[in-house]
Amino acid sequence: MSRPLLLVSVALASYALLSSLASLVAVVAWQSGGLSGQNWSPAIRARRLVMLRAFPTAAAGLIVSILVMPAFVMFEPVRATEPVGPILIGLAIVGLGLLGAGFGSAAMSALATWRVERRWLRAARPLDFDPPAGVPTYAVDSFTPIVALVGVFAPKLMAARTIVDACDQDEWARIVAHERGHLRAWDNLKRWLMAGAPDLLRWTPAHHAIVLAWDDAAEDAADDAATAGQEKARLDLAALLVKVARLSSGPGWTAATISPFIERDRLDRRVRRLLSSSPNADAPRSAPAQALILAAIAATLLTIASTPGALKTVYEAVEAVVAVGR
Amino acid sequence: MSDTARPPRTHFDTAFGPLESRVLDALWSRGTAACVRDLQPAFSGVAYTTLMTTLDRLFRKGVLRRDKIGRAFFYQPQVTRDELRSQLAGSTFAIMLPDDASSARPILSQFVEAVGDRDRALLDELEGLVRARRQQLERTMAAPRDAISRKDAK
Repeated sequence: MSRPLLLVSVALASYALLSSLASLVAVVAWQSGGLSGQNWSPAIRARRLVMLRAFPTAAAGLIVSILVMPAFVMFEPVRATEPVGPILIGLAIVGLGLLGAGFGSAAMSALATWRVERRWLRAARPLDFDPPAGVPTYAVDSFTPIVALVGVFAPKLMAARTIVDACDQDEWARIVAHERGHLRAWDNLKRWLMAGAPDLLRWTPAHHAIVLAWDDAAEDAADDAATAGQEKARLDLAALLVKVARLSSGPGWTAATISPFIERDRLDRRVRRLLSSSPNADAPRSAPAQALILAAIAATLLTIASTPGALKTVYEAVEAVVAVGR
Repeated sequence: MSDTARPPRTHFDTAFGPLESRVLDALWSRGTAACVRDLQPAFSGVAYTTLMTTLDRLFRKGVLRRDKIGRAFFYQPQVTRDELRSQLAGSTFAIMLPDDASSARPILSQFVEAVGDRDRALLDELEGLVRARRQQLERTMAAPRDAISRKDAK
């Protein structure tokens, strides 16, 4: 195998191995229940769930790019070709499969989003607000009552005309405030990244459980952002959720919308949470530990990468895998 | 024993329930505006209030137009049967999502997800909770005001 091809194979194989191990760690972490804690504020819970979901890809990607590849480039002697064992080839194929499935899924999702957005925009009329909504907002002539922030990088707020007509100015302001909560948290981008994560975790039940838990936390965080802890605002938002849900209720609407299997429980939970006087009042509002952990991981990796002895050890480990079955 | 395959659900079936479809059919057949009382003879066994709610739902869905004449609302379809079917077939929001969870889904955050017909009881219950909480909040806010008024009166 030529040197460039070997480098790519080593990178893919190490990615497959490391991301699979990290997926296992993520599954164990999720099942231990520590990360589904209800004591955190929804915003922090959402952030931690995203981090958990991103962990396998991020950890494997960082280790491969900061340790494995530099070690290989630094210590691998320049040879015309090198025979490799079946283990490396097998792992490289798995790595390629993981990346292909993840990126393919992300691309399909982006394409589906673009198609939906383009189709809705064809029948849409821009809505103006005073003060401005802070997000491009459109009313769409449609029989399916829906209000949604659509798009990954530059989301647009789209609402069925039936909902626009049924809501007064205050109610619209509340809807916009909620959706701006999603916008500020980059929730659609996070949703997209989680949908396209190229790792083994995506094929486990833990993936769906984590994404659903994140979805709940993100909705709660957007509700909190829209109400700013004011009791009357929470009550008004709860009433509005029921009103819009009632407009959207019908035998068929669920088939045409997202998450038909969770909407009932989520609406129930969201409304009850908004009606409870001060949910998560004691919950920590910031996550300094999170930033410290990230900084520590990055510092450790960079320290190892700048130590020739450590890189040599990494190289020898890689060589051992390359040589298996040769 | 023979199995008959269920016909595929059309956009129309997806958008309207059986009673809503019957009400629309009745209005299209009449060709003129009708109030609940006008339609009731064609809906034996259906309560007056159910029929009224169904008409109201169709109005809210934007399918019917209504005018108040005297004390009653008179409903009329906004479009013909064929127009509605073709609009639904191309309905912008009705394209949405594949049932298969593994298929690619568009990326969007909904304000509130749609709920099925079966969940009206839940909506009623939640509405009751909101109402009760609002009354409780109003009482709480009114109490200090009352105390101040009593103090002023003394």
